[in-house]
Amino acid sequence: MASIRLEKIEKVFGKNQAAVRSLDLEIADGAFVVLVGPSGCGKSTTLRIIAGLETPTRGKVFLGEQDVTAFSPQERDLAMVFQSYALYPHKAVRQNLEFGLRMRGVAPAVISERVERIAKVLGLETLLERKPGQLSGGQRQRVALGRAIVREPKAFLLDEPLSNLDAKLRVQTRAELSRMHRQLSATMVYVTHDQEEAMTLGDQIAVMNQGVLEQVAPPLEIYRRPATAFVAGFIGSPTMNFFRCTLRQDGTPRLRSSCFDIALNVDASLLTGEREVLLGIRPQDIRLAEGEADSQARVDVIQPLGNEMVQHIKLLGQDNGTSAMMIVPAEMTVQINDQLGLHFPRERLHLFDTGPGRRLGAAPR
Amino acid sequence: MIRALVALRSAAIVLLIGAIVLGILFPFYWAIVASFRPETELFGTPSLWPQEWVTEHYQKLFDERNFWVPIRNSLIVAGATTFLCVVIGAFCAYAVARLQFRGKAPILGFILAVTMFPQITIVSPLYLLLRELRLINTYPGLVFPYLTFAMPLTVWLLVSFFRQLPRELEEAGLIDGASRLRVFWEIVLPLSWPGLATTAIITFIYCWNEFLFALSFTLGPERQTVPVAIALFRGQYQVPWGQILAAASLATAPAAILIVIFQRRIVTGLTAGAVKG
Repeated sequence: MASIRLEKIEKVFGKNQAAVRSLDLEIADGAFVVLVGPSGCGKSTTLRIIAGLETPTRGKVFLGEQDVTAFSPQERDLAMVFQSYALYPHKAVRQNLEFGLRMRGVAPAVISERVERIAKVLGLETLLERKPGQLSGGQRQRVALGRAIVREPKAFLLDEPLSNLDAKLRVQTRAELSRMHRQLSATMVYVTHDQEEAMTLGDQIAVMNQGVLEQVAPPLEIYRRPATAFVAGFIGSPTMNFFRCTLRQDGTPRLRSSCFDIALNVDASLLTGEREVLLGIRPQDIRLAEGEADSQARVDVIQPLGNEMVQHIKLLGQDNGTSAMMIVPAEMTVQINDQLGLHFPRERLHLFDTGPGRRLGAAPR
Repeated sequence: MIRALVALRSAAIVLLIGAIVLGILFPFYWAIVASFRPETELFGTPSLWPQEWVTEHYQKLFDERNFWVPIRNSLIVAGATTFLCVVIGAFCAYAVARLQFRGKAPILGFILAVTMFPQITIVSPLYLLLRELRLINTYPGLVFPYLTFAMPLTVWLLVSFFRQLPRELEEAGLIDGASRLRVFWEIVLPLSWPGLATTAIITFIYCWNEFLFALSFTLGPERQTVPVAIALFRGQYQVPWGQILAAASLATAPAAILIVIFQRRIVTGLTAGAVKG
């Protein structure tokens, strides 16, 4: 196993279509890092650069201490699981599993021993003589994993390996992957667009947007202290509510918009005068006010989910108010057009600047 | 009313298609049937069905004219051209389809441009060239010129086949530790045999039917191919129609058989890459 380090990686396609911009990423030996972001954010390109399938326009790739930027995929000794599995359709499962070992000149006896062992671990023993076309989606997925594992590579690269599975199988395979990672203590880089998958699988999550690495941190830190407005909006479901408002300091700092006026208890030294900011709060964090309300809202749509309820609300203010979402316990009795007093817990507020969307100050944990 | 119109329309379409098919197939039918008519009947009142079936034209073809020689020549020339085209063309097409290199677009354009030359314009220069090389009236003297038009065709067909293959399979091979050549050999070729077979058949038929070069670059019956031999059947005083038709029927047979067997593959082959599967 090996650590992976990306140094100032840039990838420009064609004339000036930047897929990855100045990306630095360090993946420790044995870590499970999930690259997550919307489609087109450069996460797959980054993975392919690590694999050696794309050459970076600038920057370096290190495997352990070795600079492998100029190495071909075959010289890197990494394994990759593709979204489409990319099993060799004309080869039986056994030949698919053997292929990588054969290409690396492993002795035939060792090959068959390893293939048998992996087949047993993954429950593929009875399928070894079948062609991929005769397998179900889940079985193909396991063969693809097996083909990677059997090689005992320096690291595993997984490109949305679960997105072709149905929801139930996906959850199951996710757990299996976690277990596998623990058992193999292997370095894994996993690409997905699914923030939930990222949260459940990774030791570290790297959120990318438009070719830029926005934040790398453990899942809970990403969730609790998103470094940018983009990360805040991307991670978490339903997505975070954002309100444009004015941060003003007169005595205590206050957040003002036509819908609310909140006194903050943050470190006031960060603030100078008055500025536009983006206030973020997760739907789960909005409370019903018990005393004085921070804002008044009208219920627009109610979506019961069984154990909880998603409410689409309108914060009352100028114009037609501001749309937001909140999650309340399912027992709450509420009707459309009811008016609610809301409380925004101060420690759950996130402030971002309105330009690049960077997190502001030592906002509360 | 509307239903009647729809029925009328589909009937009209069926009729039209029937007429076209008939128009295309009738000359074949006529040639095959005529090749079994006795010589006298050939010039009598035409009938759709011969009164008498004879095989004398076929017998004469082999007894008097030794038609085996042009058949052998055609098989050798078309076979060798096809073999070279598919082997060399496969590498070339794979490079064009998958590898990144400078000047790829101009090369493809150039390959296409070569096919656009009217054959007749290059006959004389080719003749001079082949004469210098002492290749007139030899098998290589036909195979090399054939490569000039068959190779671009092969490359174009194969490029579309290779592009159709999922790229990820090759990438998986590379990551698994195979070299480009190994990937080509172990993954690309086994998966594209339908494409290779189709290309081979099309190339073969193309060469089998070629006339102009074969006529220009051969001197005697010992190297003439089937189309040339047939064209030269006519004597000074008579045209042996029966034998010509018999030979034409025989010459069409391999192509017809191959196409009937592989027609579905050939159609998918010709449209490969046109739309996404």
